[in-house]
Amino acid sequence: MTVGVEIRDLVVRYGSTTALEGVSLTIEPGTITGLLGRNGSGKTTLLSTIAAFRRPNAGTVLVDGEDPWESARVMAKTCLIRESGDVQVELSMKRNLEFLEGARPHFDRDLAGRLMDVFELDGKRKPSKLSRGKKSAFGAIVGLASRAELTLFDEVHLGMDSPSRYAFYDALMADYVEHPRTIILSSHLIDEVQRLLEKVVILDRGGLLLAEEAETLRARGVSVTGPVDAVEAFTAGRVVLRRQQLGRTAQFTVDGGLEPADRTTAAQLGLELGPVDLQSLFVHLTEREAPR
Amino acid sequence: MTAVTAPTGVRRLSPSRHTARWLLRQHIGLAVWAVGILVVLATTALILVDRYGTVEISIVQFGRQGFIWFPFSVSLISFTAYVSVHVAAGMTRRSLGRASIAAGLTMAAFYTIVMTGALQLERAVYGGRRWAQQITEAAVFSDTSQVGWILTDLGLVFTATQLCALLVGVVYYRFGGWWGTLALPLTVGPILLISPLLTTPLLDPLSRLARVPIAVGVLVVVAGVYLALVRRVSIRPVTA
Repeated sequence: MTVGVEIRDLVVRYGSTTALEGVSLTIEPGTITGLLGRNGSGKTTLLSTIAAFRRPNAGTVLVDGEDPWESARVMAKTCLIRESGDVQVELSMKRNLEFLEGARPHFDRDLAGRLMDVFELDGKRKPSKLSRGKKSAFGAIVGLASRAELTLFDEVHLGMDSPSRYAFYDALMADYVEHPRTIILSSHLIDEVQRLLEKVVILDRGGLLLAEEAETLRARGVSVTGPVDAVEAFTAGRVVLRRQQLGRTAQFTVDGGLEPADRTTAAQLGLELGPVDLQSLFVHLTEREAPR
Repeated sequence: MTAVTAPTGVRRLSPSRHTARWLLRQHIGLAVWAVGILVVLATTALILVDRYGTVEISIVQFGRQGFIWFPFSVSLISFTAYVSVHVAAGMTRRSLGRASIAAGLTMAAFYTIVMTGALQLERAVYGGRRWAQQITEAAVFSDTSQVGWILTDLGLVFTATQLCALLVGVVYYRFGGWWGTLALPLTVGPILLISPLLTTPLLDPLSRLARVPIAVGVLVVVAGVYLALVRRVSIRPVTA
């Protein structure tokens, strides 16, 4: 059994700074959701609130139908890995795993051991003595081996080199297939993680920008390339996320899927239509006006 | 395909018991060092005083201060380092509160027994050598024959030490450095208050024995405030 998350009108403030304002969102049980957003968009705050690390100022968060704050049942099912993980940095990794085995109901020590080998970590070493990448790898191991019904990874890849990151993605997928659960993955490396994602949530400036199926989102952005006049005529009345022009050729990125009739019109105008990857769409959607 | 909730077959302790046991393992490791240091220092000091002067006062009695401030530091540091680990491991703050108090009380009992035993051992050695074992520390007991009062004094002071360390830790963690420092008179005060509470003439004609429940009441209040604060603590953001 996996757990879902229901968030309604969530407001979280740090003193006079509002980190999240009126966020409403549903995370379906048993899915891998990508939580995307620029720096300071509120991703970490959202994950911290779901994991009962902090209380909201207003609104409700329900995990498996219950407020997670001080709920022994819900907290036992939730695992948030923040960057390098919240571990006892002056104890060896072996002792940390021993602690977690006693604390986490479904902790898999064998999996942890195998992943320690994959990431080339020596259990006798202390997390405080590890490089940033190795610390992150240990955090990833803790998150995977905990097998919590709701697992939240917040920028867990920080400092990891490419082989380690791909080893993490592979381990995540392999264990998810064997032991389905609800996973939320916050990352800036959209190109790398997009193949894992079933749903995508984008936060921007403390608010919810969108929450959609990853496939729907991928189909949503279209690039239109051709003569400037034709491109402008075709995109008139549509939401244009980005305009690029080189001489008499223009490429506009349009938000919103195209009907077959639109594609026929584009062909008649001599325009080229192309897909927009998640990363580009994310950049366009969260782009700010450059200061003049 | 196996659901994550499938029984693992592993019998686990409750979060409070698991945490208390975990904290105790760490505290006892350091307590053994503290006891070792007391033995070495007391023995060395005794040999030196005997060689170059006259043994007139108890050496072990000074370990009382060491057994107050060393465990205080250990408990304070371990609380502030552990709180985020505990919540991140999926356990409630309530279980942390219970477990840390249980571990603290156990450690207070450990230090009380060790210190009382050391004073009695010293009494036997001094008696054999016909040395005077004078108590100069501001404690409830004035003679090492008062085993009951030694246990009462040390038990209350060491319990206050443990509870105040947790209180100081949670106030610093929740409210930050400024408020944590400003609140020190209130949060550390009970450690300094307990022994005078039992001896001050201000509470005459209340007997010492009648004052013990008042001291216990102060400790219960400290524990209550700590539990109330820890149950609402937000976990701090990760700092680089």
